[in-house]
Amino acid sequence: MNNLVGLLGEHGANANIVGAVETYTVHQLMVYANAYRQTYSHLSKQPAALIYTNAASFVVGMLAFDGHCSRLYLCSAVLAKDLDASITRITIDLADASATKSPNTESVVQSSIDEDQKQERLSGRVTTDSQCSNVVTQWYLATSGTTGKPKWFAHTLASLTRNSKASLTLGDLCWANLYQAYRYAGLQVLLQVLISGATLVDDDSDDLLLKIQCWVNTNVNAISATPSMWRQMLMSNHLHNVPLQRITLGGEIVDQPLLDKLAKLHPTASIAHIYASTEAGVGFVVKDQLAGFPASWLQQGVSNAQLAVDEKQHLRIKPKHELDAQLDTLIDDKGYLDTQDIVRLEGDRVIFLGRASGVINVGGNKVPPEKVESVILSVEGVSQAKVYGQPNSVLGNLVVADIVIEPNLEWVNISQTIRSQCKLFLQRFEIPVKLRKIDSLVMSPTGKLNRSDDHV
Amino acid sequence: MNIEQTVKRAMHDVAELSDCQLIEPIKSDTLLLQSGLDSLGYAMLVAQLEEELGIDPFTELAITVYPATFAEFVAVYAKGLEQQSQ
Repeated sequence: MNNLVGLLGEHGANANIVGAVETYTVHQLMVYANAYRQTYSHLSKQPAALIYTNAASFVVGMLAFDGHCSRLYLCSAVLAKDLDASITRITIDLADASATKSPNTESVVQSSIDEDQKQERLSGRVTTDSQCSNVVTQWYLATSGTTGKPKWFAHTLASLTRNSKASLTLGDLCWANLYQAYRYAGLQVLLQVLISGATLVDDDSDDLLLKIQCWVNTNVNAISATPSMWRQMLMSNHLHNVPLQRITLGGEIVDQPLLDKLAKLHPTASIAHIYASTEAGVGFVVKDQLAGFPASWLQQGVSNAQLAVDEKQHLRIKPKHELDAQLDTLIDDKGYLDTQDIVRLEGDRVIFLGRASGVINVGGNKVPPEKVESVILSVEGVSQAKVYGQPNSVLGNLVVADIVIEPNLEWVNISQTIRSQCKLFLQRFEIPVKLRKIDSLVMSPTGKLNRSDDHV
Repeated sequence: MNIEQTVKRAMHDVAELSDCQLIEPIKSDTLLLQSGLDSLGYAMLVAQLEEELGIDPFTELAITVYPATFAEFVAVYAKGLEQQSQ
């Protein structure tokens, strides 16, 4: 089995990553990767966590440790705190010269780079000693669990690259980087860029107008983003300046008006919306510019999976690859995984309605209601709380909360305390935008909150 | 209070709630993306205006071009209210 280095060699890929300061070819990144692998030779068949700094540096880590480490956790600095202390954390930052200045790293990295550059000059391409390694690295990606604590799911390079394609046209694409690659969607974009030999523009601006200007200057013609991000880009009134050939949407439910607006603004672009599940490591692509997916796929299946809708209207999916053992309870006896996505058959389309678990999707950020409820319930005087999503045309959903307080207490005081507690313990998108005082909450016969009732 | 004033006041309310720093003054040609509200702020603004005015023009109208400036944003609501009263 090829590792990432071998896979890229197979495709003859010559991707470029345009960083904030410098542009790197994949061959340059392989040289760095080789050096890092030698520096961390003691991590052979050991687990490691790769912390995201920027796209080029992350690629170095992916090239260095795939086929070398037993498990590779892709994470942010925050997510890394969740991991077992015994797992070595590795932060690579090519833009930060001091990153390679620890005594044992500097000499190894530098000498290895010199050696590899000699090799490269001799052979015309970079080769590495572990191109066809025996270690099949398990790649771990985090998803938020019901309590907000990350859950880690295992993938293999083979399952992660199943949808990645290479062609001359794909190699000409220049992608914007709107996701960070320790998330499933970001990793998909990065692997697609690497395998197809395309270019990734990794600008680090937070200002959308500056970003768009940067994309114009660097000839970006492909963007993958959540529907909420696309709506914001449309609001900029500058998106028409980006000559898009490829538009990809994912991470949230895609609605028809948004598809129509994008098609009107970029009539020659191919528009694809991607359904993907981090847990299952599977996805399919819908390219007919219609919301949902064709109902005929329930009979025919899609390229990598069989699909079904169960009696609870949940979409079930049976991928060709083996699923993470943690998902066993969600897999039926025919091997179909309950995606927890509620769907409805509308004519010849299957339309997505939301998450059965009640997880609220705020512009692509998943908010487990239980996490917010626990913060609200910690406030003295609150007896019950129920958090749910309110549909919103800008971000898909916003978080709102219904709250029952103890008798004879002042709502004004309690709601103020709730707001300040939420600001202390929650991220901005998790904080309820509306707190509604109600008299009582409906519970299910098992004593759980009823999450399926209407709130309108 | 006219629509422009309603929107401006709602922007101030939302900025305070969402910890955003609104720029002053908000003028007709102020770009929405540079007004100080981020996407969460805008989502909250649209939700609040829906409560106050009873419409969300971004779902109820077939808007082909998203508003880029404050004046265009107000115009979208004005058009939405006009259509509602017809």
